[in-house]
Order: sequence, then C-alpha cells, then structure tokens
Amino acid sequence: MKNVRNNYIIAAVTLIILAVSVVFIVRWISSRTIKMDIVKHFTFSNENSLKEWQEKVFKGKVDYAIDEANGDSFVIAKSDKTASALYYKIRLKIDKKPILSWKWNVKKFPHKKGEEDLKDPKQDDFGARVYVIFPSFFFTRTRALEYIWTEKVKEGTISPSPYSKNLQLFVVESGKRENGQMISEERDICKDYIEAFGEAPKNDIGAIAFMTDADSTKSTAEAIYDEIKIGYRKEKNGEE
Amino acid sequence: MRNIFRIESKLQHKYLRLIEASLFLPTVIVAGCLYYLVFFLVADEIAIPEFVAVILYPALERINIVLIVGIPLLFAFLWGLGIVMSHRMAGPIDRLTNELDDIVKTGNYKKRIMVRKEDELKSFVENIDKLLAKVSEREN
Repeated sequence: MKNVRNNYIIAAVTLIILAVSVVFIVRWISSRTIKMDIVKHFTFSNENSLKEWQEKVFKGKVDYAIDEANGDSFVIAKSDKTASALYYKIRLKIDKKPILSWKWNVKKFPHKKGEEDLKDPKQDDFGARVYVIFPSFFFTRTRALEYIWTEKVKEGTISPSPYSKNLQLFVVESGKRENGQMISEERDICKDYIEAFGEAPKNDIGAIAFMTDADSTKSTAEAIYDEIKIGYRKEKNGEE
Repeated sequence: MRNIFRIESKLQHKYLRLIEASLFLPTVIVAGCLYYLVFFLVADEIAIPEFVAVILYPALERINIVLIVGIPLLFAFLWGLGIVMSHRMAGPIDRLTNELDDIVKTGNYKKRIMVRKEDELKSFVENIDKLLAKVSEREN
C-alpha cells in the first residue's frame, strides 16, 4: 500500500516537472521570435492572392501560381531561363524598426558551372530571393537588401550584387532541404541593413519583392514562398 | 565703323545677358527636368533594383557621355546666337546715337545714317534719314 502511494507521488512530481519544463521551453521559444505589429500579411490562400502583386519582367516571365499541399496553400515559382519578380509597394517607417518574415523552400537550384560566386553576373540566379527596397529621390541611390537562398555559398555571407554596391545580397539559407518542408525566416531589417551597408538606413522602405530566376545560367529553378509578413517590432513595456 | 559681331557700347552686353538668360535658363531647366523625369519614371516602372542596374545604368552612362560632349557645343552655339542677335539689336542704336551726335555737332544734315539689311530698327533709321533729308531741303 505504501509502495503504491510512493509511486503516485513520484508520478505527480514527474508530471509537475514536465509541465514546468514545457512552460519554460514554450516561453524560451516565444522569446526567440520577435513580436510584431503586422502591417501586411500575405497568406496566398487563393488564386486572387497574387493579383495585388505587380509582376516586373526582366527576361521572360517566371510562372508564379498558387499551389496547395497538405491543406496549405503557397506560391510556387518556376523559372525556365527566365527572370521576373513579384513586387509590392508598401511604405514602412525605418525608425519604427520594421520586421519581415516569410516561409520558403527551394525545390530546384539554377545550374551554376564551377564555384558559386555571388559577384559573377553570369551566375546571378538564385533559387529564391526576397527583396526589401529603399527607394531614393535619385534612383541611382536606391538601395536594397536581397535575402537569398544559395546552393553552396555559406549562410551569413553578405556580398554586393554584381551590378551595384547599393544592392547587398544576404545569404540566409544554403543547400537543399531533403524533407521539402518550408523554412521560416524573420529578419530585423535595420540590423541587417547596418550589417550589409555599414550604416543605418536613411530612407524608408518603399517596396518588397520576391523572385526565382534562372536567366543568367540559362537553366531552370523552382521555389515555394508563403506567409510573407511585414510590420514593426512590437514594443514590450517600453523595451525594445 | 561697327565691328562685325561686337560693339564697344555696354548696350550689347546688356542685350547679350538678357538673350543668354532667356536661352540658357529654359534649356537647362527643361533638359534637367526631362532627364530626371524620364529616368525616374522608367526606373519606377522597372522597380526591381537589379533590373534597373542592368537596363538603365548603361543607358545612363551613354546619355551622360552624349551630354558631356553635347552641352558645351550647345552652349557655344547659343552663345554665338546670342552675340549675333544682341549685335543686331544694339548695333543700329549705337550707330544712330553716334551718327546723330556727329550731325548735331557738324550741322551736316546731308549726311545719311546707314544700317545693315538684317539690323533691327531699319525702318526707324530710314525714317530718320527721311527727316534729315527734309531738314536739309529746308536749309537749302
């Protein structure tokens, strides 16, 4: 009888420890994600979801369409030697600490011969990229952050685009994910801007865009995008 | 005797400044606005910074070279045009002043004032010549 009571006590203590651990783990995970006041949220839930994006064509049209798998809808982008981007004009104050988050995955990388070089214009194709654009009065001074998913270049690499120092490529993911699941990203735009350009942004955000292209390598690429959210960092009790 | 393109009087400089201002200022303002607007609108339409860099930057470089060569030539042409126009305006006035001054001093009413075919105020000078002819007739 005494043994049975002891077992109950041990089970109850174990349950309490487990519950406390779960609470701590949840709080730890939530403390790692930035709280955000969402200004615009793209769920890509139906075919009309792409209508609010403008397609900007450079070399032929990339096939952007809404697809669905496991009850979840997303944008699928297929490029066959083409380059066109989906572009959305949105004004965000830079001093209010804007945050951008999205989900993505690259299904097929554009084929690059030899070592992948971010400064080579002949290799300026990426499975997926997301732009944050800072327009200027003189268009030659317009700056942009490009979050890219490369095949081989290491995550965390920052490099100017082969075409202009005002466009900084930011490698946030590298290599193929075998499980095919989407990867979530959350970027503090000001922090990334300072890291890429070495100074705080002077202009507000004027637009965001995303693109899958394979025109420079004359190959094919495929990626999926979902849950693009842009907003401001939520202030917590006067703290950042 | 009038110089071909330049007279000593300050009047030509006055006209020259006026003509140059009315030629240079609109040219600079209109060309500057067009230059900015065309590129601004095209860049705004292209939108993606990489596409802008690939498409517009080379075009911008070529146009800048054309402008670097073309603007001094255009300004030289406008300056030359300004000198010719100011000379045609100030020349006859200067001549008229000098000749009338001479006629008054010498009392020689038979003297006629000559102006060039392309000069402004030609009919005005011709009327003064007619007036001098009448004065000369009365004196005789």
